[in-house]
Amino acid sequence: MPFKCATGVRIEPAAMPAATWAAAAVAVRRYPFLRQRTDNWCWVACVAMVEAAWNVAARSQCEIARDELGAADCCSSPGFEACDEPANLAGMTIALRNVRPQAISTLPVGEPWLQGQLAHGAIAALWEWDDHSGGPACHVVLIVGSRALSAGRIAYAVNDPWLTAPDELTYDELMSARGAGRWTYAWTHV
Amino acid sequence: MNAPPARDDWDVERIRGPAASGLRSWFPSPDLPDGVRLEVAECLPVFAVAATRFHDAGLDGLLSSLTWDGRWHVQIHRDGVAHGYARAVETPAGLRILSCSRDGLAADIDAALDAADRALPDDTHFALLVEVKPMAISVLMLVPHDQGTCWVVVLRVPHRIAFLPRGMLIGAGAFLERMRAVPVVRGVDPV
Repeated sequence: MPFKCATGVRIEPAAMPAATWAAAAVAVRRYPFLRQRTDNWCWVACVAMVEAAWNVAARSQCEIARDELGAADCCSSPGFEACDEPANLAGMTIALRNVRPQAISTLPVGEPWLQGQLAHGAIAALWEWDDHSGGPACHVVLIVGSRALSAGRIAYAVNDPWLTAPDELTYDELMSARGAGRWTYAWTHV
Repeated sequence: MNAPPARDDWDVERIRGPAASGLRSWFPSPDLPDGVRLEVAECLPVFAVAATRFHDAGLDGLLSSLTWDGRWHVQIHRDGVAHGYARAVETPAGLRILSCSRDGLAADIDAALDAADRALPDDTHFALLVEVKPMAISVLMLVPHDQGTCWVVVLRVPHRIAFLPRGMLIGAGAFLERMRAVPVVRGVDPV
């Protein structure tokens, strides 16, 4: 048997009327999806998505890194190697508040809280991976909305800058960092 | 579970049908133009491995360190072409969809499966998706049913890791050797 299967199993789309569909979604300002330009710039990409959503500054990712890291120049080298650095929690808070002064740093405290916070804007979520070596390994994604699925379940729209497109996750999947860790910190009102 | 799923479990049909059913509410009709055909294609078990194992384990140790929590990667095709993927887990109540993505990983997996079919035409291996999240690495691992060589196709790798070529079939030993030089991706330090 080849590895690649020859035929699939058809997915029938759910027959939910458009009006119902719209009503089931939590309306959140449109956040464009951006990929991170370097390995450690998930935090930069998230700040860039927030900037674009609120139509402020419109800095490039290397300009954001330069400004937030206090570097002289992050944009000259083709791979941005000089500034491919992680942020720390305080630095991420400052970077987000430079765009959204009302941003709040907090801990994730349950799905009702998450639903409530989405009414105020996107949420930046810090995932801490399990089983790392050589120091802590974390990742930041932006939760930009939600919508109801069948049977009362909810899908959360996530802009994960490591991927190439937005995706949708259940709450359990958010909390478990896609089954590979834990959601340990959050920034709301962004 | 600390081993690949038993051969008896390697029946993707028991995943594909329920997955197609479970994915219905993730794809409402207003989102899809008329005539578009979405299908569940390949299903791969998703394994994880601790980043530390690349430094302290040999190949046998690495394979025995793969952990599976019941999670499946479900390829989604649109009119026969990779469109995205879902992640699902088997529960006593049935298959539960965890997430759905249009990420390009689906196309990378299709290309890797094509390469594996060309290189390994006999039915001597089965395919696993192995993820090392702290290193931001995803690979297709082709594990022999009993005796034989374990092969790897690197699907995703950090930008600056040029010594792990994407899309090529490489021996698992060579893969392990190269992985020892891969640093973790830090993103944000939690301090």
